[in-house]
Amino acid sequence: MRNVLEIRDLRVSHRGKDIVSGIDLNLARGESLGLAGESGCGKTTTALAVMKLLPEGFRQEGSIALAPEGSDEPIRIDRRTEAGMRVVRWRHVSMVFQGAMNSLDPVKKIGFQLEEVINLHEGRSSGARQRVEELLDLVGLTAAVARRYPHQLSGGQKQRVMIALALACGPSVVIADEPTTALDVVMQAQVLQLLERLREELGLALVLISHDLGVMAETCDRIAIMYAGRIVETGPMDLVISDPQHPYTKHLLESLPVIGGERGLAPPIPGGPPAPGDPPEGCAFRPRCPYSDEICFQPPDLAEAGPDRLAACHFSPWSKWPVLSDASKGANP
Amino acid sequence: MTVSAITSLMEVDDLSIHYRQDRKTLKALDGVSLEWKPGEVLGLVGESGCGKSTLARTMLGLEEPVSGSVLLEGQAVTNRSTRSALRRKVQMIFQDPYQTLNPRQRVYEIVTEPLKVQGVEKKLHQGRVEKALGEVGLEPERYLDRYPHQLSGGQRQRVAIAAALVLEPEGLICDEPVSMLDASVRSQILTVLLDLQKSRDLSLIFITHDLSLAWSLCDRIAVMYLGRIVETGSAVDVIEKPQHPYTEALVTAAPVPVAGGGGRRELLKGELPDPSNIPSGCPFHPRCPKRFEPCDEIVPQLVSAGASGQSAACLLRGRPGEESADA
Repeated sequence: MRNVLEIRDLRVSHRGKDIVSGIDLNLARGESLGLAGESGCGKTTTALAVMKLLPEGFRQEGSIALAPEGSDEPIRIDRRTEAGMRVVRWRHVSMVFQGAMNSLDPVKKIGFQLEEVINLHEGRSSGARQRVEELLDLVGLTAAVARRYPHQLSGGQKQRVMIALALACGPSVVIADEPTTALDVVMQAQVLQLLERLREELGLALVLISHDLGVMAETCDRIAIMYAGRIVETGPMDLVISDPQHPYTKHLLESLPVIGGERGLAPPIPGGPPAPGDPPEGCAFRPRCPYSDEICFQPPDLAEAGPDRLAACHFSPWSKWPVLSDASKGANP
Repeated sequence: MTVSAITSLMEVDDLSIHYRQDRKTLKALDGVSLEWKPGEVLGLVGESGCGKSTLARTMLGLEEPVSGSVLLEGQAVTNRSTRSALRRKVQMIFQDPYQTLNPRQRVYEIVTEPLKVQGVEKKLHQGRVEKALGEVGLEPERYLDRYPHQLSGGQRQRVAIAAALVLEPEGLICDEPVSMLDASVRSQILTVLLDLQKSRDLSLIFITHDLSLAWSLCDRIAVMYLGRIVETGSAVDVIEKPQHPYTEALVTAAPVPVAGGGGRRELLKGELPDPSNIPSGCPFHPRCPKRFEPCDEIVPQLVSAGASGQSAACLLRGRPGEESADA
């Protein structure tokens, strides 16, 4: 297997409704992949399926294969039992959970919490303390942080501790779910730079989940945009942001304020994304899409839209975006 | 504006807020002066803990300053009657629409509450509430009887805006109004606010840590650091030609959604110092890449620098011959 992670036709359902379906993703060694989309689009669900940590009542199908450095046979995550997953999680693939910096135990010192993870997964007690110091150093914190309680740390410092936790057992793949959302711009940029440095130094492959395309543009090699439980566009980061091939991607990019770019606001697209598991018939973006037509009542395939690029839109590849008249803007509420 | 004599909706003059904490003094605001003009979109920008929310709360009379004054249309806000006028004329919305709405009240009750508090005649309530909901793009007949848990994040923020608008204020202070919302909902809410600014000549204050948002929305911005304003001016001037190294650092930190992103850039090191232990001299000097000899001794004052109407509190500025320090 050439890639460190391969997902094929992943489907997650809950009470007979598909929350996520038809997900194919490849992650090369040392690559960083962005998974973008709005709340409820299925990005976190996809990540949890890879970790096999979906809550009870969710069913996952499709293959998920992990090929860490030096392994002969890829690990088939989808075939692992819970006991079998325990030796995979954190050692080969780990996750920085969304809002996790608030889930540090408030009455335990940081050093204790890090040691606990190391001892639990590596089963050794000597050397754990030194490993804690190494980890803190790796994420740019001083050893003194080990003696502090969570409330004594800033948001940025706590997020670094969470990243240290994810790295504790030396995984090949780290999934970071909205790692910078609660942080302000300076901290956000620092944390992104840290992830970038770790990727280079440790040869990590990174899956970065975010709703913020600006954050992704800086860190990711490739991007997959999700809408209503499906991937609607994927390709190399620079091509996707310079020349989007799905109206939803185009809209997300236009709604992003850019310093030095045009001031003011792009016209918003009305409505919100559909509820998980309840997409409209045909193309899920159709009701909000200013370019939609008769054909959009048929579901589009994720098809080639350029070199190394896929888009799920009947009209892609778009060579030129039609100019919208005011009347057609948001004409389909 | 019919009254031409009024040049500012609100003004704060040399405002300071200090808290006592473990026998230390925490200077949340330290000598802040700022003008908010009618119809203006003013941005307050800075990192968490820089005092931008405290400034907004003080302007609304929610915090008691130790010194300095708050003026509404040229009149000092000092007693109950001026304070009550302030509440009618200036309203505020907050970051988290999941926490600001009472979960046990229906939309109608939430939006009516300010009318009750201000003693507006009861027969006017229904009409005013429906008008306010209409202005934020919620059809009254569909939403009046809903509870907050039946609304999405964007709809909740719209309800919060409606509750702020129902008194027909002249100014609205928005404290990180969209930082918890998704991209498409975010632009909807911002569009609602900017449309109101135009249709009602509403004055807006946007509190944000995101300079790119300030870039796209604000007429003027004030950059804050450790309880002080370190730079102010028109949004375009301040962001395109920052005169304070801190503003420059914020511009650098803003994400750039173009191929290659921000590239290898020099980021500000460290975090905001403890506000109960503000560094001597220029409070920014320990993190400043351009600091020089007297920065740890002299506290810089805001002086004109850069474009007209722009000023910065940096020792590099305002002295002839030293303006070529731009990178």
